Amino acid sequence: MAGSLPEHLSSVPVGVTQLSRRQIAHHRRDRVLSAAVDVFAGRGYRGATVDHILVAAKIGVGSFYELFDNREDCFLQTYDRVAATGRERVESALSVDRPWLERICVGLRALLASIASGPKAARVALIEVQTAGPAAQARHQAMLDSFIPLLREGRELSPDGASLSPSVEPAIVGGLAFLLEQRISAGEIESIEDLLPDALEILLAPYQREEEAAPVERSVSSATVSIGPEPTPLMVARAAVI
Amino acid sequence: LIAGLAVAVGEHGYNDVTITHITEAASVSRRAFYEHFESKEDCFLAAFEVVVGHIHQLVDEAMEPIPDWPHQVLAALRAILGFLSSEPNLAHLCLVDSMAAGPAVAERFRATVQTFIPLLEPGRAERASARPLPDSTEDSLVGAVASLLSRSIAAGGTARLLELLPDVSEFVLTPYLGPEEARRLALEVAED
Repeated sequence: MAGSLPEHLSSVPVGVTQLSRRQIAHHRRDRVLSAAVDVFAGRGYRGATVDHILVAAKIGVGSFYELFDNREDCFLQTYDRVAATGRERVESALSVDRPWLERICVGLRALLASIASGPKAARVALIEVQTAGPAAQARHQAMLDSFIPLLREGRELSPDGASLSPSVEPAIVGGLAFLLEQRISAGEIESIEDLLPDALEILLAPYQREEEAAPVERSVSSATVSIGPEPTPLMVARAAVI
Repeated sequence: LIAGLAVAVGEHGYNDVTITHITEAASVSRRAFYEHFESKEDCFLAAFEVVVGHIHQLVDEAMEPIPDWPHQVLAALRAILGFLSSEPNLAHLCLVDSMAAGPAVAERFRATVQTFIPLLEPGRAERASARPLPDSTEDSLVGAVASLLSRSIAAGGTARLLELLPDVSEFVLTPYLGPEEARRLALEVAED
């Protein structure tokens, strides 16, 4: 088989040891990052030292500094790995071609499931990241902000979408992050999936009208006449999720 | 010392600020510092308490003469944003540096944010709908406001903080009054 491959794709004997050494390094880095999640989650960023990580990962100080510049760099790499894993779970849920509301439901569900299945990783990604210096804080903010464009699509479904202030989506993200932080810092992680109905309703509130609210006034408002039963699919889908 | 802390943290950032920076900014001796506080974190927590106590007092005063709940909330938000924009160092200390100041302070920050929940709860009685709001509504609203303020202060200081007042007001009132009434009140705020 190898003989039929173009030359640049066939295995090059010279590279074999090189590659395996790289694989070993990669594997070791993985092992250290897993240990670092435990250390940073257990002791907090401020309480964790390089020594703690060396002991937990069973590596020498030389190996540590081959992989990381310092404790902060180790934290950032740990954070990046944890955040990427969480993101992948949410994004694979989101990638399915479905209407916006369903994507929001499955995305939120995947996010909560991901937190519940990795309490230590969740602590690193949502709590410790805030105390780990400006670079970590910037990444945390960027991670939160990355959800804003998806939320913003909800404006297309909303009768008031065009006139919503640009602060709405940052506010939703900030409010939901606060709920998650509360639960995680209180150690209530296993039950965090119970938040789904509340979180969903809070997330959707700015995009939907309260159908039952003041129906008389509503019918005279010219803005609402053209909407028809627009919020109903939201309500139905929400009910289905709950 | 608290003002000194705010100035010193403003200059050096919480992580790098030393007790010497604080005592120099406050023009007091190290001994005086240690008479009051055990550590930098202790001083930070004390500063935080003082500022939050002051904000609650301003909020109470602003709400006291106002009969209706929606306008009470607007007055409270105006008082909070007004105070923070007049005290850039303290605003940064409480809403930006507190996050970075370690788990004890971050925990206190979250607990403090929740002390504003009782201001919002009467809004449930204002709802036209019989369908109850989720239990976490107030938690998420105070968290949302805190994060909007933190974000704005971290990005550009406090000079334009009051410009957020209409948006913040609208967001907070929407779950209770519905989008139209919340919008109307936000426009009223923007005109003042």
